[in-house]
Amino acid sequence: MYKKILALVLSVLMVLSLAGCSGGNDAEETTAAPAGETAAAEGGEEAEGGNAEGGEAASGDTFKIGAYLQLSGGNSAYGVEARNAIEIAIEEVNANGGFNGVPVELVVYDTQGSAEEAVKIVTKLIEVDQVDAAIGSINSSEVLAAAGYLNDAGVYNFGMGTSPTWMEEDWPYVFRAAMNNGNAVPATVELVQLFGYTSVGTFYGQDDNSLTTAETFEAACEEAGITVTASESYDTGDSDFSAQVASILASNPDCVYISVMGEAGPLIVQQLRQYGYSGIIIDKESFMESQIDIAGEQNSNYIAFANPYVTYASSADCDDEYMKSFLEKYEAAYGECCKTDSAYRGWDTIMCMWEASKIAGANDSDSLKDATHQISGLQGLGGTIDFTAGDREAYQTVNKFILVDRKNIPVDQWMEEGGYDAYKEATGNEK
Amino acid sequence: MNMSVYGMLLVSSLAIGSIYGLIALGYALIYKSSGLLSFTQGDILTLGAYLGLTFYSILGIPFAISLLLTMACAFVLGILLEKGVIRQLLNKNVGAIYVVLATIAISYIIQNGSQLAWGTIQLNFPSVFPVQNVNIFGVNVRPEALMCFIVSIALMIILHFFMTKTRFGTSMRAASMDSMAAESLGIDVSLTTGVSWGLSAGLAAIAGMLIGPIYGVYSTLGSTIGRKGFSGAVIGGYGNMYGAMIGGLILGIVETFSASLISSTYRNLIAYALLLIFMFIKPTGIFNERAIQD
Amino acid sequence: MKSKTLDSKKLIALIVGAVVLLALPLVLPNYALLILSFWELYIIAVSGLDLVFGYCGQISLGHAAFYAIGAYGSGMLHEYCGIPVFFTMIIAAFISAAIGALIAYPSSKLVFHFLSLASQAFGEIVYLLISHSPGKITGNYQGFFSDYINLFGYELDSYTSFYYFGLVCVIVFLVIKTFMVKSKTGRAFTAIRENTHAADGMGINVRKYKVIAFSVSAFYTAYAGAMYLHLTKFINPDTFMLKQSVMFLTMLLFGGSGCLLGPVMGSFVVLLVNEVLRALQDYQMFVYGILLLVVVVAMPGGLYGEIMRLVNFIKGKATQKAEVK
Repeated sequence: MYKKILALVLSVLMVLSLAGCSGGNDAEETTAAPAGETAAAEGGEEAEGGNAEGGEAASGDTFKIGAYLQLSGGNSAYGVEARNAIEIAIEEVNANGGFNGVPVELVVYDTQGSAEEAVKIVTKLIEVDQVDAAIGSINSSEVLAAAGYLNDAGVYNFGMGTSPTWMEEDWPYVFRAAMNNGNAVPATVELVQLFGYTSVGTFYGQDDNSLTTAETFEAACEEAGITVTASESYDTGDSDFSAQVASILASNPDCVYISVMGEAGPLIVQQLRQYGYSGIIIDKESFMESQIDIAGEQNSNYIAFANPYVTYASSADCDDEYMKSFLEKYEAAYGECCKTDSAYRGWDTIMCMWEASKIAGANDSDSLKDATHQISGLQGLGGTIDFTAGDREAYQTVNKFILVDRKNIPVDQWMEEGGYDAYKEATGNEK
Repeated sequence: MNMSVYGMLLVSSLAIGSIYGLIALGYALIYKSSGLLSFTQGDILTLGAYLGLTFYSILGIPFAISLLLTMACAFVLGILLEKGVIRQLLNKNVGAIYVVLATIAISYIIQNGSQLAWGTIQLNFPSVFPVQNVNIFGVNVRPEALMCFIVSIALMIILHFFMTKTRFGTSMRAASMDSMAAESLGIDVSLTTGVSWGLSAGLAAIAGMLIGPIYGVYSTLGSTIGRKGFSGAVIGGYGNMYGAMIGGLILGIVETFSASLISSTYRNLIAYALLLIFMFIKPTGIFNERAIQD
Repeated sequence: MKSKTLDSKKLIALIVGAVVLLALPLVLPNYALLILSFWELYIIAVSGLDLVFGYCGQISLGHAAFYAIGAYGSGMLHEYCGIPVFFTMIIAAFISAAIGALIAYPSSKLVFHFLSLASQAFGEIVYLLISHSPGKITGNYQGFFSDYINLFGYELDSYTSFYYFGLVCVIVFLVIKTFMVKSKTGRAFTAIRENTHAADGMGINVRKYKVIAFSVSAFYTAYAGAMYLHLTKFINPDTFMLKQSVMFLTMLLFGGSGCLLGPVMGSFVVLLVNEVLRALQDYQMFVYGILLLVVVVAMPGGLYGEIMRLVNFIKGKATQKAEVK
């Protein structure tokens, strides 16, 4: 009997959701709702149907920001932390008058790491939710798949991935308030030269971001006269890297460069150390708190990188005032400090949008787009945000750090204070 | 590369290979007892790692006891799966495809459920041993990697004695050979099938707890391993317990050394290529298990 | 299967259905049209899987591979050989059919479960090849951009035009499927599904028909893959993982296998369920898993079977009209 009821329920669900598709406003999460209680949102599906029929301008009572983020599956921690930060940033905005007096509202969907889902989601954001602006995934491949749709629809949007690829497209409505890994490459090469190294072994992931950055790095090395002794790769989902590590170390490079993502990072560092490599590891971006936890503090020593910002174990460890206040807000809202820098990207993104709305004095996409190019001298978590270069990128400069005893020390300071000599002494390495 | 590097590679490949072996062993038990494939083994591995982490790291229970607790939890889960889902489906006399799909659904549930329960961030499984490396014949070895291999082989041997020397093990084997005949001899086939599923879940969970300290714990930890485990099972001869372990070890060694000596780009392809090659050319596997063909 | 006679009631239903389908773009927003376009291509892909599974009884957990071959094949033929898009889709589908035959030939000896393993391994291999192609000819993980479908100078650059194009494709593919199923080949498929040994005894060349089933199925799914590429204009390998093969299978079993309407209904429901669950954010995939399990355990006959049973239940007595398999 209950089979029949189930069949009936399913058919009803089918019809109802068709109605939902064809013009209704789907259940949406307002920022007031605490994260994690969204399961109840399904019920809102039928209740809210039918208020956004037709193509009237969506702006009015609220400024709606749509976000497509990977919230489930591998590496979803980044998406979740970004969402958390976006939520507290929006709270902050709303407590201070919103966008030109209009309160901001957030709609979030899970891309599951799939380009197809990302495309469906942005179309839904544009058509059904009729968002005023959008924020894209931490996964560059999803931004690459979806941001073009937002651009074509003339929706002001930011992506949060750090790959060079999607910003190379000619999409005037697409901005980035995170770093460009490609831009960090010259600084990374300077790092290699700073330590006097002439050869490097590279280890990179096959994902878009890691691969593109590693290729840029290898090309830059060649130009700078640095030999690449070995070039090895892995796939997302791998956990045993011993073969690649052995090959890299067998080529006997002065240092090892890793261009990796998420879960693989700490395992690679661990296995490099395991195989006896005690030298400096150059990372394409900061080695984050979550990664130090897995790799171990000892193993994470002497990882050097160029990045706008670093992660902290807790807000107490942070000296930068603006960063500290952000971390405190994050801790207050979620009970612990953010472990990845994707949270920073989420916060910076909202702040850039806010600044643009202040400059524009209006909330439509075109004004916001034009105003964003005028942003300069805005305090961001990674230093000063400046869009005036016209390349739609927030961060033009990066800082060089080295990780020693769980502290990210600026490299220049470390060299000055004799850290390099201390390193040679501690490890017995000549270089 | 010098010899000690080869030694280290060998240890790494035996460690990951024995994990493939444990997973494949579970596939063999399930196949022998119910003639089915389960796609949940990899995710039970993940769950085992999370449970082990909870017992060992959060609740502070000693490692060996945590291991037993984890195994017990997974054992119960395995039996519940068999009784609550698989048996229900078989009783309805539906196609085997529904069983396959049901196990895939369970794998989605475990993967996403553990993410909701333990969070999305990769968790650290604290080291089991006080030292980071031990030196054996001039080879730097991680004690956890060694433990992987030793525990897996020990489990294999225990299982062998359980199957051949105990009454219950004998009835399990009898039931897998001819369930009708076994039933008429008074063997509780439903029980032996349930226990087989329980045991394979237990093995997967132990595997998870063994590699947790090496790889950290995250929700997709077991998915790739679970898929490659099939390859190990086919290489050894699908359904053969000893073949499963040997097949897993072979896979681990071939994969690691070919990646090191030839190229790492197509490392993951090797497992699936081996699976196809064996299926097409030597479907009975190394241990000549006749299961795959008509 | 007995053939239906087209009585007047059915004719009216058919006409009403046709009018509704043709009028939909006039009333629906783009988002719904995008979902409907996906529905169309999923109908074709799942119908292909239905031929091999529902009719011939052969399981495949690797249809994402054919989907990928269609998508990448069409994209690359267009990109590197300059062939207009619509032709590339057909050529890619033929290539996929050839590959399907090639893989089906040695696989045809495998029994059910191991076929699922072999097909899964095949799926993984194709996934790894497109994501690690030499010289990055597939764009690897960076993805692959392509163009809209070009029908003799007319570019299908809107969801509305794609929807109509897809509608025609669906009808063509379903008609071919119907003819195929009713032909000698189709009867051979069913005989193999019901009992391979008996079919062999009846003088049916089992291997040949298994290869045909796989090959035609690969054609269908690859064509759908090509439609997908030219609908979204961008693909990356993450779409073509095991998850996608499972999705096809879910749609098929959801709707009901071995019938014309099963894939149509199944793909519609699964797509809609996914859209509805979207609001759950992190809980989406978890709930999807539970729903999948409940459906598999509670209604293994598929939606088509269940609805037919419901219809009969409401009618009060079980008439023999319904073609429940």
